Amino acid sequence: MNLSFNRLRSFSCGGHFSRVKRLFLNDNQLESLSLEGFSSLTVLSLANNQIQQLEGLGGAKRLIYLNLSGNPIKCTNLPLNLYLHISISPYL
Amino acid sequence: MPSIVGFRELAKLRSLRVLDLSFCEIPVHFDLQTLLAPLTRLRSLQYLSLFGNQVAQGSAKAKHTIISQLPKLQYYDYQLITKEMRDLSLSIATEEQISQQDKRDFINALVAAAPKKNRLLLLEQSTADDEGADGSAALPPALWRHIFQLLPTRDLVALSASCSRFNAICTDIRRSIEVSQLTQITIVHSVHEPSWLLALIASFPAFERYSIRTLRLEHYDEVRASHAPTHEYRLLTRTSARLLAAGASTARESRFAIAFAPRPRAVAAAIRAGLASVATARIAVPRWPK
Repeated sequence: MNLSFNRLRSFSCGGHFSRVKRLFLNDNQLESLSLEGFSSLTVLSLANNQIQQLEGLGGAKRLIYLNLSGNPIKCTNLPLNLYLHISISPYL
Repeated sequence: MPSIVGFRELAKLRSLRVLDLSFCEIPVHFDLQTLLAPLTRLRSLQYLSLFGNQVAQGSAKAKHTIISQLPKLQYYDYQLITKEMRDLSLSIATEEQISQQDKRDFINALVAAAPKKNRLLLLEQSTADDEGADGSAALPPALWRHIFQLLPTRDLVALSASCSRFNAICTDIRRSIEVSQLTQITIVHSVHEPSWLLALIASFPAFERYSIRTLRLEHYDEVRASHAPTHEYRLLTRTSARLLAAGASTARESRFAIAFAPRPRAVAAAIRAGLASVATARIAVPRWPK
């Protein structure tokens, strides 16, 4: 199933796509994942979306191919000493 | 410790073979070990891309760390991992482990041998692991300062991969440092070696391993983060070897060149070379960060 190059902001299946093996959602505006029901999924491509968190991937246990390139994955808890390093270092 | 929300769930995808995380804006401060922890459980992972992320590009050793920790990986960043590349990565990882152990041993020995009144201060400051801009592990600044001040030097020409670090550490003794045209550093400052430091050198067996042949003097290019021994460093190595072999020990008149790389091994070798009180050797610093 290829739904690339749309303007999808969210995507969920409600259990109707349990036989889908390949899912392409490239170049949308997805911000989160919900893969419940995609029990047969082996290929998942989510390139160039707005996904920041990777929660919800654990359900697709048959996944072989996962493409998350071009997503602004969010990192939490920037350490305090990095701020200090940036503020005091004359070489940055 | 910074983390990616949900990243641990990747460890559940036991059949995953291809994972593309290129251009995901993973910052340079992100801990590579944290990133690799769930991936090491993916025993079928054959392809991984972290291309375009600062975490993989901030350090030259990141690629080797990844390859060494994911033995089943066949492709990294669109490139086939050859046997030579994997062997190199494993050797670098092993060397890094040894280096870390040497660093811990060195710090422990130095702290233990220092006067009691200084021990607590050194111990507190040495617990903060200093990571240079080049991504290399280094001694804590307090210990660097301690070493610099104790070296029996009149003229110390310091070449360093960590020129910036050296510069920063020595700000408090800047008065005694003459920098001429930013090509040569001369510390016109004489300190007699204390007996406890001599005892440390004598009692620390690891120093004996640092023969001049194993003294790795490297020019560490901070911009490209690559090791490249320069002509000056090779010259210095040869000069030091010759002087050490001659066994010169004119302590008060001694002048010697010494090179610091951001590695404990080189530091230990440098101290050993310094205490040998070799004769004059001057050399220009090949590069100084602006």
